[in-house]
Amino acid sequence: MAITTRARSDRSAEPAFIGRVIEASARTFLVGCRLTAEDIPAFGSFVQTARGETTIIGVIYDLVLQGDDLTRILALQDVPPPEIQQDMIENRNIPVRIGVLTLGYMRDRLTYYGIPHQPPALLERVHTCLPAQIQRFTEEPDFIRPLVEAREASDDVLAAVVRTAAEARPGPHQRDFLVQVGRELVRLLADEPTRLGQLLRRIRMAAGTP
Amino acid sequence: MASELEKIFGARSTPPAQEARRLGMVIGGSLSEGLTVKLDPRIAVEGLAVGRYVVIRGYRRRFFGMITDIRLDSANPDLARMPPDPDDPLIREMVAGIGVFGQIHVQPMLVLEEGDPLPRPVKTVPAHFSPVYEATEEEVHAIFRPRVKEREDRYFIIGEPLDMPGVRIPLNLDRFVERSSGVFGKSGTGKTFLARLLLAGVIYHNASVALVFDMHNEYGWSALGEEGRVKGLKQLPECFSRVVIATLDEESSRRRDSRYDLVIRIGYDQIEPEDVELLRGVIGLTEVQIGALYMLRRRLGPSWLRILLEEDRAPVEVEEGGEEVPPDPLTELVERDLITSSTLGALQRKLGLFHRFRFLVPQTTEDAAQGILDRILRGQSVVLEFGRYGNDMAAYVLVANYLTRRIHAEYVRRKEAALGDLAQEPPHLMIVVEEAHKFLQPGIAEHTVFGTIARELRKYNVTLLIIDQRPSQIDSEVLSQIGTRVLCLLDHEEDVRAALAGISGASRLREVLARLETKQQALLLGHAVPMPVVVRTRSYDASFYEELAREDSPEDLVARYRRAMWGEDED
Ligand SMILES: Nc1ncnc2c1ncn2[C@@H]1O[C@H](COP(=O)(O)OP(=O)(O)OP(=O)(O)O)[C@@H](O)[C@H]1O
Ligand SMILES: [Mg+2]
Repeated sequence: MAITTRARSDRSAEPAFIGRVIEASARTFLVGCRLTAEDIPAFGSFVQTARGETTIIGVIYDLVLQGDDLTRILALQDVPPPEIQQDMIENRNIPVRIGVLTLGYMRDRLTYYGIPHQPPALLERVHTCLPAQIQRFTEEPDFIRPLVEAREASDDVLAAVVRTAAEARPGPHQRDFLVQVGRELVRLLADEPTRLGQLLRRIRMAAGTP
Repeated sequence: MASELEKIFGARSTPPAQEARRLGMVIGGSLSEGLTVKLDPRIAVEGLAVGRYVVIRGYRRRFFGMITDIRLDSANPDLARMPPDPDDPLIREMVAGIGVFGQIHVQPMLVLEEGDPLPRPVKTVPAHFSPVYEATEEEVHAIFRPRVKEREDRYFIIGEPLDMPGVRIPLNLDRFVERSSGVFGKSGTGKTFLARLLLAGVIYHNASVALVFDMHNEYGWSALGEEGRVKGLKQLPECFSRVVIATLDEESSRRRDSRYDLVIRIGYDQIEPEDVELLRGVIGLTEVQIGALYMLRRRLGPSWLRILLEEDRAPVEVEEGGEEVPPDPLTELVERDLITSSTLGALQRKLGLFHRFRFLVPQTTEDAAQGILDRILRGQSVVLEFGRYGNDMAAYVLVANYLTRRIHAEYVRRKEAALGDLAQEPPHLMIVVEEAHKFLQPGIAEHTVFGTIARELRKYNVTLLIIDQRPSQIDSEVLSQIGTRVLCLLDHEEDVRAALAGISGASRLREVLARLETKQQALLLGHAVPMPVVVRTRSYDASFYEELAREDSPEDLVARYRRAMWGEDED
């Protein structure tokens, strides 16, 4: 286990820079950036930005890759040249708009769930979160509620977030974490048994075989 | 490994012992209906059982209650009806305790206020969300601990509460005999064993003198249990001289090697119509026939029964102009139309069964009731063995009623003569009857001495210990006078109801009663215990005789109790 921890921290010892805030509201904000297709963070990833002393934590619920004139022209051709398509994925920095749902914030080493007093400032830098941060932020299952209630985020995002948070933990603790989250979902969604059932099944898959 | 995890997650504070006993929290209810407690998700519903004690921690009070029901509930009925993947252990774990959860029903019984060492009856309920814990042994002990006021109270350990083998439940013997008590339970649940255990306590600790109508010869000298013979009351330590065995059937007693001291004989001329009247249910006497009994007694004097049964063989015929017939008292009564010959014939036929009772003799100078009374007044308990007559309900009812009527009358006389001088009063007497409903059925109880004793409470120093399988057949007024109830498993709905009738909040104990084990478990409630308790009753076996022997010497009760309770040995 010590090895996995080190391997993980080696890979992302520092939070990776993603982009800057280009639009912000109380519950969501948009991040603009240019990234190669390979570096685009996944749905459900945890990101952080700052507002003064406050670190705002959110998850990616939407990604828009913006094409340019070249993309449009190439798209009109019957068969876009494969080498160009490959180049687009590997080398070209594509303008990307990332939708982030705010789940809570941390200040003075304390975690708060829900929307911060103020949205992130425009042009503020946005980074990915390290596993240790994710783990701390998701210690209480309260981070789930905004996800359940948000119109913007689908349940696919919710499942992805839970999976990410589970993977941030050492193996033996993943199951406990999933149970804890599952219980919170049962509490929140007791009146929507169908949706609850689907969600639990999806989360369950994150745990692999029992 | 653990420390490594702690480095990553931070040390987790271990829950204090109290938290480990937490069951859930109060979410509703009332004083009369009991409280609803939602179980914490980590509590396995299966691990709970009705009859166990819980403690509810209110703001400044601790409430004691008993689990009276266990049920499953769900946040949303749809969730329980269409559960998401109930077969998947992980999903089941997520849903259990939150979406679907266990509830227990708790009957609050006593309350312990801050700064008050005495538990009091509940008059209020704890607030919403008060935490509920399993009661600890210390807490149960605190409730049942004898409260000794200068040796006034005497206690006898009757058993252990459910799942608390370290704690003993003491019964306040003085309170137990102070009012009539009942041992109820279906056949084979251990009523007789329990009654004998209780009697051992009563006699050993001199709480009362007992008169036992021992139908099946199980109390006095050696009785057969499932695991061989057990000792009778007379064989227990210190009891040989305190217990007198009387027998109706010398032959049977001798065969069983019973050490009887007294043979009971009853003369026909000692029997009164009142003694026979109680047999109405057993041998089917009509009102007319009962009226005839009294008429016969008035006309024929004390030897009425002898005359009636002697004439048995010669049928009475009224012959026209038969002036030769010798003057026969019965014929004369028929001639004078005081009784019809058919009534007379019916009585002779029905009472003819007295011929089979060898303990009935035409004439005797002995007075059986006086013989027994003398022993009782000397402070000796009497066990009356019925021998082979135990299987004959008529013999049992006749003799028990015959003796009790006379002894009770004498008690009333002496008690009134004593004019409140305690030294002159006869010793407290507890009369023990099996198949008690034969004496205490509705319609019969009003007429019999047993009904009278049950109703007049302790006025004349006589109370009953009634043992029965069918409490529902006992007159409800009599039931309502019972002070202490010892209830073994009952399964007829109406018996359960009758056994608990007249006790506030007791109807909630129905589930508890219906779920007792078939043997050696009993629900105790009433006068002699501070709150209802389910006990695993003490075994009546070799270990019991030994323990009893060790309970001797009038040493300090507290010390004696402590030792029995916690196994502390002071020297
Ligand atoms: N306290 C006890 N100690 C030892 N054995 C017991 C005890 N209670 C019950 N038993 C066992 O259970 C058997 C049945 O008990 P018992 O004869 O007292 O039942 P009962 O209720 O009086 O039955 P019935 O209604 O048929 O008279 C006994 O023979 C004995 O073996
Ligand atoms: Mg019996």
